[in-house]
Formats: sequence, C-alpha cells, structure tokens
Amino acid sequence: MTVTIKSLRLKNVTLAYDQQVILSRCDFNFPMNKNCRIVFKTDAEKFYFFQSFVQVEGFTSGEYLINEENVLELSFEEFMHYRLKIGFGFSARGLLHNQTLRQNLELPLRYHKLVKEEDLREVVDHYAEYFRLGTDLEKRPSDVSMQSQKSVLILRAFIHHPELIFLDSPELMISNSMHANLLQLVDDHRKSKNLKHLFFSTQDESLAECLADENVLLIKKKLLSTDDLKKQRMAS
Amino acid sequence: MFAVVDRMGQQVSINLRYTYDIFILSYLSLRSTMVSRSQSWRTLYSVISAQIYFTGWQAMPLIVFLAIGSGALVAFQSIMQMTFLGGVDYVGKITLIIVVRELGPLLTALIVIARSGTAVASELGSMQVNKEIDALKSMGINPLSYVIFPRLVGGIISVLCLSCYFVIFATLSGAIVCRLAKSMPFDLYFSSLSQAAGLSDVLIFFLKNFMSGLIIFSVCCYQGLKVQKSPHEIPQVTTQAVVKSTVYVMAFNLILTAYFYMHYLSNIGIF
Repeated sequence: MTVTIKSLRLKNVTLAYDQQVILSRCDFNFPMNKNCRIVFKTDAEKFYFFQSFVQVEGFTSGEYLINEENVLELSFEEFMHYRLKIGFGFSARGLLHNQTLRQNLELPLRYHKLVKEEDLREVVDHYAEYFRLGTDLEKRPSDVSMQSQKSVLILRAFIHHPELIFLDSPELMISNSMHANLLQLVDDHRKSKNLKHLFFSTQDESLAECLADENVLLIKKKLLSTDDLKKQRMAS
Repeated sequence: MFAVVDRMGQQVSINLRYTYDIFILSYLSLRSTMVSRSQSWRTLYSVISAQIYFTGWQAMPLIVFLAIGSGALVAFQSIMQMTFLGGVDYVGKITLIIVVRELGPLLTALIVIARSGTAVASELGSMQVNKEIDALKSMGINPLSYVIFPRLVGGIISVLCLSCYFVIFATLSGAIVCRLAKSMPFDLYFSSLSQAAGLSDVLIFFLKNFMSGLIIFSVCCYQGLKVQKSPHEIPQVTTQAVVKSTVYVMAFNLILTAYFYMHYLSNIGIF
C-alpha cells in the first residue's frame, strides 16, 4: 500500500517518558512541506520527543494523527506503511556496533527489500559521497571517528527516500565544513527524492538560519509555532 | 506464620508472572516473524547462522572435553558397582541411559548458559544502552523478529546439536574405559547400547534439549531487553539471566524426569 503523508496533527496528546511529562494535553498541527526547527529546553525532552513520534511510543493519552488516522491504534505491522515514509536521524548512538558502516546503511534497504541486492553497493556509495566516508565505510562504528558515525546516522534517515524526516541535532559531532554537505543532502532530497517535511532540532543558529523555514517551540509542555506565540503575547 | 505464607505466595506469583512474560516474548517473536511480510529471509538467515556459529560451533571443543570426561566417569563408576553385582554387561546400557536422559541435556544446557546465555544477555543489554534497539524500530525493523527470533532458533538448534555431540563422545569414552578397565569387547558394549536406547529416550532427549534451548535464550533475551539506560545494569541482568535460566532448565528437567519415571512405574504396574 502506498501512502503520502499529507498532515501530522496532535489532538489532546500527553506524552511522557520515564515519568517525565514532555507534552501535556497538547493540540498542534505540524507545518507541512517545510523545514521546521523544533526548539527544546533540554536534551532529554528532545530525544524522547523525536523517538516518540518515530516509534509511536510514550503517548499516554490523546491522538497522534497522520493523514487524520490515529496511528496510536495501529500495530507495528499496520504502522509499517507510514514508517517506511519516515526517517529518523539520531543525535548520537543508534548504530549497530557489530556491523560495518556500509552494513548499517544497507540494513533498512535490504530488510525491506527496497533496493535490489546487486544495486545496494552503488546506492550506499552514492550516499557515502555526501560526507566523504571513504574507507570508513568498511569499518565498524568503534573503529571510526565520531564524525563518520554521525554522518551515517544522518544518511540512514535519508537512504530509503522518506517523505518525512526527523533529525535530532544533525550538527552535533560533524565539523562546520560538513554543514554545507548536509544542506546539499536535504536540498537533493527535496528536489528529486520525494522529501516533503523535515523536522529538526539544532543548537547551531547559523545552521538553523540556513535550513529552517519555520520554528516550533516546546513551551510549558505545549507546542507552539512562532505565530501562535506572537498571538499569545499580543493577547497578554 | 501468615507473613511467611504471604512471602511465599508473593514469590510464586512473581515467578508465574515472569514465566508468563518469557512465554509471551517467545510467542510474539515467532508471531512477528511469521506476520512480517517485509522481512527478507536473507537477513534472518544471516543472524541465525551467526548465532549457531557462536553457540554451537565455538562451544564444540569444551563440550567434547566435558563429554569425554563425563562418559569416562560414569563408565568407571558403573564398572565399580556392577562388578560387585555381577552385571558388567550392563555398563554400556547404564552409561547411555544416564548420558542421554540426564547428563547430556543438563551439562550442555549449563555450558550454553555460561558461554552463550551470558553473551546474549549482555549483547542485548548493550544494544539497549546504545539505542540500537530503538534504531531498529525507527527503521521499521521489528526487534522481536530481527533480534530475538533468530537467537531463539539458533540457540535451540545449537543446544540440540551440542547435546548430540555430547552423547556420541560420552558413549565413545565409556567404551574406551570399559575396554581398558574390563577388557570388554567394543561389540558387546555397543550391542548393549543398541538395546538400551528406546523411543522414549529419544523423546526425552529431544524434549529436554529443545526446551533447554528455548528457555535459555528466551530468558537471556528477556533479561537483556530489561536494561533501560545505564551500562551498569548490564552485569546485573547478565547475572540474573544465568541464575534464572539455570533454575528454569533444572526445574524443567526435574519435572520431565519425574513424569517419565511415574509413567514407567505405572506401565510396569507398580504405581
């Protein structure tokens, strides 16, 4: 079944992880077809927030609606057709340590049979070019620099050509000179690889300036767009 | 008095709950593998074969060493006792019965717990800490079918194979001991073996090893997945995995042996 992600909406959602409430009775329409920066107060909030949206976990009440369908009611298998349209770039960790960087990148493609076996190498090589991974591709995560590890974490979010990507602090552990490559990656996917919606967090204001079309803030356990915030301030 | 009964009841209910969780984990891993239409069998096969290599193949030398030692010990003890009773011809039969029904499955299970059970629990624990399990979920890969199921299948196959090797080497070493200690001809020893092995022995052997493999790897996977955030939890869950899988394997072997013993007695009209 092929679907297109058209809308992403929260309805009265409470989101909690380890008894830490991240969202409380939150209603929010995510801005679509944009590069949207989400601003968090703490790192823990940030990670759990993204993880919840990708894995559909941690929602204690409310509805998480994709195309107006409450995905909280779907099983792992039923959610699969949406999941394959979603990519997630971890801020740190998340690579399989008993596999090489190449195998890490190949895994989602091979597992879901998205690319023919004989084309896998070529696809991975193409992506590795973005961050000039070179021979690191054949090494395991513990044998390469943090920058190479982070590059693979970012590339893995893009490699299956998702429509919706969540990127958790993509600037972390990669040098400033690589930021241009990241922007190029996003740009290429927007132009020719079906990427429509990008939600990311960053502490790097220059990257945010280059990438973000809109900001969303997590304030007092509610999500607010900058427009909402302005209206609230005007009202008060 | 009531406090003691309360505590016992609490422990029983905790253990029943734990057993239920283990059973559910095994069932869900099987179900998710069968239900998943996207999973390629190639990825599954590679994880199963890796598990068989680490658990089955790499444990071979230790199992062979232990089998030779155990077979020889059982044969020596049997010869000593049977010499007084005048039944030395039965040494092969006794060796086979003890090795196939009890020693083989139990010692193999203990070795697998010590070698591979601990490895699986700590591996899964570190996968949790390193967010590898979360990463799999985010890629649409169900950890139950990609991580747990292949380990269960690989573990069961390995335990069955290792136990077969154990029986072969233990009976061979028993034959050598009989030959050296009592000058018993090999053909006499092996003919007593062929009379000793019945269908019920094969059934007990298969059941014990199959269930040992399933218990060890489901308990160790479950314990590994219990790690939440911190690496310091890994040694704790590994220790618990060893203790719990040993207790479960021992209890299952005991129950099965007791059942077959009762069944045997009732067949010959004693019970």
